[in-house]
This record gives sequence, C-alpha cells and structure tokens, in this order.
Amino acid sequence: MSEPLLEVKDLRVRFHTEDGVVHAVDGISYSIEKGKTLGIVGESGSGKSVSSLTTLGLTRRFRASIDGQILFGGRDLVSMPEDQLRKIRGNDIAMIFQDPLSSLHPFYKVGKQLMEAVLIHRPVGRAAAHARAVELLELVGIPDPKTRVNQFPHEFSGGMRQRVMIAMALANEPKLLIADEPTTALDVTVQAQILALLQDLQQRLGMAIIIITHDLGVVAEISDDIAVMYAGRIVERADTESIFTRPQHPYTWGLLKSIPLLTSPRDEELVPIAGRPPSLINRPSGCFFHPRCPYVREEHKRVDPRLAPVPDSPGHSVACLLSPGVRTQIWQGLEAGRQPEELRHEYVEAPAVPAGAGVAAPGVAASGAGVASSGAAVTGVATTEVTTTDGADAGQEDES
Amino acid sequence: MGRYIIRRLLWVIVLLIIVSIVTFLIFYLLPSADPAALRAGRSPNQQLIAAIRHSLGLDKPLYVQYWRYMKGVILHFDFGYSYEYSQPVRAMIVQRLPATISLTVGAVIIWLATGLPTGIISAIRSRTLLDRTTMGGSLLAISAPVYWLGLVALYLFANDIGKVHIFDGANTYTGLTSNPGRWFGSLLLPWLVLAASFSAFYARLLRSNLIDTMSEDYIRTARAKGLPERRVIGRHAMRSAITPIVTVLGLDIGTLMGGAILVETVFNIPGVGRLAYDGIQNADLPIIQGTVLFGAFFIVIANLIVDIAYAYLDPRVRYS
Amino acid sequence: MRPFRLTLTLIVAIVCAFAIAACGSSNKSSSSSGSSSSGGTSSSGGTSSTGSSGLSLAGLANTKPASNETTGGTLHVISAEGWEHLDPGASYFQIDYLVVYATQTPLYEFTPTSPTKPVPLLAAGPPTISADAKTVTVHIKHGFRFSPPVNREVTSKDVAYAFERMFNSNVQNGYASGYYPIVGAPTSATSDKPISGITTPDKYTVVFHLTKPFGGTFYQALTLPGTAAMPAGYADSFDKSSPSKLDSDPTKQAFTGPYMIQSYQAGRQLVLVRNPNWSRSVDGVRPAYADKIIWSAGNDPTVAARQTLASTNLLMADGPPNNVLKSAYFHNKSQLSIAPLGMYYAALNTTVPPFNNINLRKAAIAAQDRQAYLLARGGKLVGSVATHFIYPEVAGFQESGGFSGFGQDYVSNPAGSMTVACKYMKLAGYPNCKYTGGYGQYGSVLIVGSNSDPGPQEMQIVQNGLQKLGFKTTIKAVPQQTMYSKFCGYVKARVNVCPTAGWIEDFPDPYGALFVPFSGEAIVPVNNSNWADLNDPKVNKAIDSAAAITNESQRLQAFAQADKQIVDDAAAIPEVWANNPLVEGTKVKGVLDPSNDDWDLTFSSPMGTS
Repeated sequence: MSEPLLEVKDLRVRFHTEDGVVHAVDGISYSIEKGKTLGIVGESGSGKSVSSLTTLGLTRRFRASIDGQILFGGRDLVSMPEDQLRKIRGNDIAMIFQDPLSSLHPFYKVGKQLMEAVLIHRPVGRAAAHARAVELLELVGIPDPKTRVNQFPHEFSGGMRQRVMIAMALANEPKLLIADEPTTALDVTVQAQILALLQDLQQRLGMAIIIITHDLGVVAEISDDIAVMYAGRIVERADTESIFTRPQHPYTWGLLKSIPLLTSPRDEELVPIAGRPPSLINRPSGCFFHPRCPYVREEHKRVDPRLAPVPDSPGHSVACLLSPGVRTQIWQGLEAGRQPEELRHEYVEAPAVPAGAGVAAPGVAASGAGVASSGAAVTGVATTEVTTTDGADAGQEDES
Repeated sequence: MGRYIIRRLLWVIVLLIIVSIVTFLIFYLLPSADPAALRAGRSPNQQLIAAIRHSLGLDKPLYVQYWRYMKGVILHFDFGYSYEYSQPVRAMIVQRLPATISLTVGAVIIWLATGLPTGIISAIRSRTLLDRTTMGGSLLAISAPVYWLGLVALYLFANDIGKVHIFDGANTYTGLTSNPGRWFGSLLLPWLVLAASFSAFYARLLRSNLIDTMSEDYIRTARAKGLPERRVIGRHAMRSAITPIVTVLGLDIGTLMGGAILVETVFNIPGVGRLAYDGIQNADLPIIQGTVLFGAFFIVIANLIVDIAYAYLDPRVRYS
Repeated sequence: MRPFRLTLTLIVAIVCAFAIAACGSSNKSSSSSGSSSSGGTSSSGGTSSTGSSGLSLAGLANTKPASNETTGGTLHVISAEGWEHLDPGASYFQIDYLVVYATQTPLYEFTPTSPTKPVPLLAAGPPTISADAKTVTVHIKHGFRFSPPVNREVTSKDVAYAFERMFNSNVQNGYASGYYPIVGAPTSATSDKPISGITTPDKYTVVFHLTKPFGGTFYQALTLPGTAAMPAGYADSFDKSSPSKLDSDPTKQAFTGPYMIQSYQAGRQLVLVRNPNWSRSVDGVRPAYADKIIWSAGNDPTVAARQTLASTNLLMADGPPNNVLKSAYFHNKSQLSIAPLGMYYAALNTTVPPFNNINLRKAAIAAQDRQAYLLARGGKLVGSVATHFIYPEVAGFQESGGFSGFGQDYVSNPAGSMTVACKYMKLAGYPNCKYTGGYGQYGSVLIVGSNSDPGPQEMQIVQNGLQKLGFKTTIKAVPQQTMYSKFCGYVKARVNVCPTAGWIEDFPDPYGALFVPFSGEAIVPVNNSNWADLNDPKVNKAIDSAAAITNESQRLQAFAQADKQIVDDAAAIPEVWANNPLVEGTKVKGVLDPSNDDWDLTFSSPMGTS
C-alpha cells in the first residue's frame, strides 16, 4: 500500500461551552491515499464536519481542545503554527461547503473571489489570475466563462454555484479536496452532475477527495472507502463494496435500510432508526448507540465497544459488541425484508449460540475491547447471551 | 436605474409639498401666537395691528397665503420675509448654513474615526473585558442627553469657565473664511459633544453587524482559502457589515443638516437649527416654514442617496 | 452578566437624574422673561434694601457711576435674548433700550444718578407745562448733530417728525396713542401725516397741544425712546416700507447718540462704534467711556452667566438663571447686582363668573399663599411678596404705604388666611365657605399661564388656593407668546385667571405702572394688557385726574389713591415685587440704569475704574 496522503491519528476535539464539554470528535483515526476518495457518513452531530474543519485548523478559534495528530505529507497539522497552516489552506488542501449561495461572498464578483484564491498563494499578477479564473470556470463546466466571471453569485443557479465553489477550491491544484455535504442543498439531478464532475476532476487532477455526507447514496457512487461516524466516533469502516454488501454495525444497517430503493417491493416498509442523536456532552453509557439499537443487551449499556477488525473482510472494522456471526445473520435477515424485532428475538435473545460464532477472541479486539465481555466469554457464553432487561423473561417477547 | 432616480426625485417634490402644507396647517390650527400681535407691542391701537396683519399678508384666507408662499418658493426660490427680523428667509438660512455644515462634517469625521474602530475591535474581542468596557461606555454616551453633555463638557473643559482649560468655550464660533484657526478651535468641543452619542451608536451597530457577519458561511470559506485573518475581517466581513452603517450614516447626515438644535444652542453656534428654534419661539412662520422645508429637503435627498448607495453596495438589490 | 448590567443601569439612572436636574434648572431662563416688555425701573428714594425680606445687600456690585472711570476699550456684552426693534420709534423691550439710548437721543431720559426724575437729554431743560396742563413746551439743545450720511444739526422739525412717525403703522409703535394724546394725532387709527398739534415756532422749540389735561404725565412719557429726533428728509423714504427699513436694517439710521450701529446680524451680533458727530459737551449727560461695543446675542443663559462670572470684561444683558444667581450670591457677590424690576400678579377677570363678584375675588385673594409665588420664582433673592400695585422702584411706592401697603385684610397675610377668605365667601352668599355657583363659558375657572418655569408652579399655587374654596379649576399651560396673543391678551378669550401676568412700568411714574394694566380706557381687543378687564369708573377717574396733576408730590398722593382703589377692587392677586439680577465680569465697571433695570452702556466702562 502506498504512503497515505493524510493520516488522522486518534483525533479528539472537545469544545468547552457554558453547558459543559462537547465531545465533538472522540478518538477517530482514518487515512486516505493519493487519488482516492473517502466517504464519511453520519447524522448531524456525528462529528463528521468537525473532524475535517479541524484538518484545516478552522476549529482553532473556538474554545477547543484538540488532541491527536493529523499528518499531511509527514507534518502534523494539529500542532502546526497558524501561518504555516494558512499556506496549506486553499493550496494543498481545499474545502468546499454545503450551501454555495451563503458560502460565496454576495458582494464580490465571482471572478474576483476566484482571483483572490489564486493570488493569496501565488503572486502571479492580476491579468494572469483573471485568466486562471476563466480557465477554472471552464474546467468545472460553466458555459460562457468569460462573461460569467464578472457576475455575482446570486446570478448563478444552485448547481452552477457549487461548480464555482469547486472551481475556487481547485484554484491551486490541491492534493486533497474536502467536500462537506456538497450536494445536500441541490436537487437530485444536479447532485448527479456535481458528483460526476468531482469524479472527473479527480481523474484528471489526481487529487484525493474526502466527501462528507449523511446520504449513503452519494458515497456509493464515488467513494473508494467509507467511514461511518456516530457520536464522534467511527463505528464502522470498510471499502464501499463491503459496507453495502456486508455491513456489520446496526447503525449502518439502519442507514442502509432507510434508503428507498427503486428495486424494493412496493409494500416493503422503510426501517427508520428510532430516536435522536445523543447529546455530545452527556453521552450514553456503554455503547453510544445502545439507546437506539434494536439489538441491545444489558451488557451494551455498560461496555464501550472499540473498533475491531471483522473476520473474513480485509480492511473492514466495526465497533459493536454483538458477535460477527450474529451480525451477519441479522443483516441477511434485514436484507430479506424481515423486521428488526423479529431478528432481535431470534438472534439476540436466543439461548444457545454456536461456539465460534460468539464473541471475538479477546486478543484480536482493538485496544481495550470491553474486558467484561471477554471475561464473560471465558465464564460462559450462555450467561452473556441470555441477558435481557429488567427480568422480563424470554417468554414474554411476543408482544411486538 | 435612471428611471428609478427620476421617479424618486418626483416623489421628493411631492413630499416637500406635503411637508409645507402640514407645517402651514399646524402653525395656524394649533394655538401658537399671533405674529401681528407679537410685532405690535403692548396695547397697540387696533389699526396698528390690522396694518401689521395686512403687511404680513395675514388677513388673507389660508389657502391664498399658502398659494402665494408656494408660488414664491417654486418660481423664484423665495421663502418670504421673517416676521420677526423683516429679512429674507432664504438669505438668513444661507447665512447660517456654513455653521451647520461645519458642525455636521466635523462631527461625522470624528464619530466615524472613533466609532468604527471601536466597533471592529469590540467585535473581534467580543465578550472580553475590553469589549464590555467599550460597550458599557458607549451605552452611557448614548444615554447622556446632548444638552447636558454639552453643559458638562463646557464646565469641565472650556477655557473660560471650565475646570481644565483645554477647548474654546461657547460663543466663540467664527467663520472658516474669516479665521480658520479660531473656526477650528471653536468647533472642537461641539464636535466632540455632538459626535459622542453617534460614535457610541455606530460602534455598537458595527459591532453587532460584524459579529453577525463573522458567523456567515462565506467567512468560513474565506478562511478556508487560506486568507490571513486581517484580510478576512477587513475585506470580507467589513464589506458586508458596513452596508447598514452607510445607510444610517446617510440618514444621520441628512437629519443633522437640518441643524443640531441642542448643540447649537449650548455653544451658541449660528446654525440653521438655532434659527429654527428662534423661529418657533417667535411664532415666525416664514422662518419655521423655511427651515422645516430645508430640513425636509435634506432628509429626503439623503434617503434617496442612501437608497442608491445601497444598491451600489449590495448587488443583490439591484434588479428589483 | 447580571451584576454588571445592574451596575450599568444604576450608572445610567444617575446620569439621567443629573441630566434632568440640569435641564430643569437651565429652563429657568432669566427672570425677566416673565414679561416681555421693558420700561423704566428706578429705585425711588429709600430703597436701599430689596424688600421687607431683609436680604442683605452688602457686598454686591457697585453699580453707581463713578468719577474715576477709565475711558477707552471695547465693551463686550452677551445676552440670551436678541433684539426686537432697534428703531427708536418702535423700540419697546428692555434689551432694545440698552442700544437705543446709546445710539439715539430722546428728549429726556432717566440716568443712573436720577432714577425717578427725568433728566433733559435732547431737551435743554424741564418743559414748561401750562396751567391747564394742556400745553407742553420743550426747548432742545443746540449742537446735536446727526451721524453720517445726514450730518446736519438736529432741529425741532426732527422732533416733530419723530412723533409723526410713531403714529405711522410702518413704524409699529405700540404706545403712542396711549401716552401722547396730541391734537391732530390719530387715536384709534394710524396715519403718516404731520400732526397739527405739534408746532415748531423756531429751530429749537417744540410746542405740544394736548387734547386733555395730561401735561404732567406727558412730561414723564417724553423719556420714551420714540421721542428721539429723526431726520425728516432722510427717514421718510425708509418709513415707506412696512416695517420701516430703519428697523429691519438699523445700520441705516442717522444716529444722534454717542454710538452708531456699525453692523447688525439679527438675533446674533451687534457692533457699536463711536459717533463722530456726537459731542460730550453738547450732550452733557452721557459720558460714553467705551470706544466700541460688541454684543453677542443668542447665547444659552446658563452658559453665558457662567462665562460672565468667570470673565474680566463681560456684561450680561439679561438676568442669570436662578441656580447661577444663587451661586453668584454666595461666591461672586461683587459681580452681582440685584435691583428691583417690576411686579407679578395673577389677574382675575372681572367681567365673567365667578370673579365678576367682588367678594369672591377678595375671598380668592385671601385664600392664596402668596409666599409660594415668591418661592416659585426663586425666593428672597428674587424679590418680596407684594401687597399693592405700585412697586418699590416706582415713584409713589412710599405714598402707597411702602411694603405693607394699605392694610386691606385680604392682602395682609402673605401666607393667606382662610378666616378672611371665608368671611368674604359668606358675604358672597356661600356660608359654608365653598363655592357652589356657576361658571363662565369654560364650565370652570380657566387658568392660563406660561408653560416655562415658573408658570406651571404659579398656576398650581393659584389652583390650590381656589380649590380650598371649592372652585372647579382647569389649568392650561401654553408657550409665553401664545399666552399673550391668544389667551390672556385676547379679550374675547375671557380667561378667568392669568397668574403669570407681569408688568414693568414704561417709565417710573405711577401712570406708567397703573394705566395700561388697570384702567378701563386701556382695554383693547388684541394685545390687551388689562388682563383683569377692569373697568371701574372710580379707578379710571382716579388715574385720569392724577395724570392731570403737574405738581409732583400731589401727583404721587393722587396715584396712591388710585392704587388703593385697585386693591379695593381686588382686581388681581398681588404676587411678587421682583428683582432683576445682573452679573458682570471682574474688571469691567457696569453701571445700572435703574429706570430700565439693566446696564447703561453709556455709563459703563470696559476698563473699570482707575
């Protein structure tokens, strides 16, 4: 494998607010290689934007504690002084944002904003910068660029504006483009165009792209790898194909099952994820996802799972206390159209689980993967698997 | 744009006519004084009052008086003669104009030079001790009545009656052309007093606009482009935050051109505001009418200029 | 942050409290704003104290003329008020007199050393009054000359013209028909024709034929500025405009006084310079020490008063506001002058209910706390409680009983007396001492006064007194000019009580103090000054017959009787005999003209005494 372009190592970002400490990003690690695309998926409040803003040092002005490392070309961006980091922003690493109308300055012509992006990093003179601006507009597929370069952002349509933003980001041929919800504000047909554009540019310019979204459909198209984030953590990471064919985390299942597909049977109900994202100040005990997980067990409320590799799936890790075998079975059930309650009843509360399909071997789990569960594995599988909440017996779940 | 301006100018004329009618009616319908009686002195014989009334044209019906007045204004730009001083109103206003302009321009420069930087610094360092101090101080400056502030300023700093002899005191105004040094010295304290509350207001306004603007998405974009913070604030944030300031500035200048009555009174500056005040005291309708129209004209024109400027500053507004 | 904001609010509140205090006190502009007219003020013999309050005058400025005054220098005068009429024929207000008596020459004037007895100015000596008091002969001095561009000597024809133009409506003179009942002069009309009753037998003699025996009073009225000679061939072209251009542009006048008006900006500035054609030896009265006089008007009264006190060379032509006055009394006594000015009273309309009943009027007066009026105006510094209608500086004050007056029971107690009030209520037919009768067109007692201090307080005091007797009252506060021209001075308005009435005598003879405010003959429909609408034949006759007496002491006795009758008629509530305080710089020597109760610019010297 080649040297990663950007490597995020155990990044933690905490904001100190009047209401308490917000754990926006709680120990995430990922990396991306040159020319590849990484998709980061999650709900609002999952910390996906914060992690990329932190990459560019744009969270420094808030009262934030930033720990960990972000290595770019061997240099750590977290500890880099501001003036050096500024040289990288808009230059080696560029970022585009969600709403291009509010993200472009309404009072300056588009050409001027593009020229500024160029001139701030290269003193080439106005005429050259202007020419470059026109060239950039052409690059992103805006017709009649010579006229349009003198227009204001509000004179462009939504899709065109996002192209302008992309043009601005590309002004200095960045090695990495971070796209934060680039298509969320656009309608579906335009979405497709923008995604196609990004792919095209990536091929031509050889740049890496991190695309951040809540929409799995978007990343399905263009990502090589996907990281699913929840409550500031990465809960599952794999290449795109694995995520879509062999997802291992209940949250990921929820995301996948809530996408309406043209090919689904008409009477098949969507399966939403119940509840709301947790508070990042007072996070749930144990597994962060447990209040919303249909397959929760008593133990999950106490034990905090860590990312662990998934057997038989290279490059695939997940943070979940259910055993891989159970997870696979549940997913197959979901794919077949069965309901979570059914599946829970069948797999999560079943008295006997075949040995080998249970808890992963303690040694293989990533750092500190729930000592208690490994302990339970040693004492007896039965004990771990049978636990239900508050004494209500196995005999009483037909109420669904 | 040209048609828009022409349409607005026509409205200016209509507005001024309405203002003149209202002023006229207020003067006659509310119990003010009888100008003929005021001129005639005590226990005059009745024919004297009648004669004065006739010479002032007060014995004609209201609409005739109004018509004669407006004819004079529109055709000859003649605003009549003051009842009190028997001098042409236009000449009196024109004579007072330089003082009012001097007062206004100087105050504007001072309040922009002090208020804007204060607003910017407070916005950048918002919620720090510095910010709270400046905003608290500005609240005081806005709350202090101008007349009181003028008196206090004189009692503290005037070189004739003040505790510390720094500035020229009241009643020292001379024209710019006759004695530039004295002109400047006599206006320093009035400028400071007049500018005080405006400066505070503009500082607060800019601070809040800037804080709002700084949280806009395009500021984040600017930073993401790698711009130094100085440029982000100076070019991107200020460009947006300054627009309401320009609007308010235009209106304030327009209003002040009608005369800053209180400051002119305390410092005895012979401006248009003082003239208006004297006119009201003396029930001198031509003066009242003239200064009101004059003031209204400036305010209306200021509104127009501000609207045009706003379209220039904010391109989104242009094509509506 | 709560605590911070609370402190801030407190600070703001304190600041505003100061602001209100400052604004409130600075609203009390000069006490002479109570009435807008001028007149002569003088201390009649013996008023060495400012009233029965026993206020100490020791240490106040010496405002009497001195023989060692220095000639030369520029006199700097500041004022809040501007000038109304600088044409001597129209001039009627106190501030205007300072200028007119310095630039023009009436036949007689009152001087700092002769405050109640006219001093011949243009006249060569006292007039000769015929035995029937219907002919008055005046000889004028030789050698008075008009300033450039006229340049020639003043003759009797110029005196005649001065009178003639006073009856010309373009000159806007308000008193001529009242004080100059000359044969051939219009009485209720105006004209611009020569007056047949004025004859000029020779170049220096003027004879006035009067329509009634009025000589003694006519003589006193010859001190008014309208008697200043005006050049016939020159002035009449200006007098054709309305108003006369000699008023709207006073620099055009031909001056006979020690000074000329060099430049004039209405309401703002006036510059007087020496008149090259004036001669001190010919004049014989006015020393005219200053070489130049610069007067700046339109100042804020509080600021101007403080500037004057802090200066060496300023004279303030109007009075300081009360707060500055009090401070000056304690800290700058030697720069302060306090001299009597006029009086204030609350006129009771005698023609409409309820005060068309004399007993109700007496009851109303008795129930008033008249000390409160004095306090409202500023206390002892500002004057003393009045008991009749001839005031301390007017000749005849002593004859009217001085400070205690005639002793009528309803004015004897300055704090009021309900016992006396109830006595008169009973006489009026209200045994319970409460009024239950009808009212005029307003359905209650309408009280109209000025809305600037102390008007509202005075109206309150009147109301309190009346309400004790059960009267229903309505208060209406309006601007001063409105009060004069649309309410109190407008007879048809029939206002019941006008408590901010004030009067400064036109000349310090009792006629000037009593005729216009109390004679039925002086009532005019507009700009009326007889606010009580008093038309008592006894009063009218008393005033007229006193006016006809030439012998001074008999005159004063007769006027005292008229005064008594007016008090007997209970036509007004006597409020305050007021003082006019003035302030000056430390070095300048300001000399007071007691008849005008303001500075006399022809006697004051900018460089003080040697």
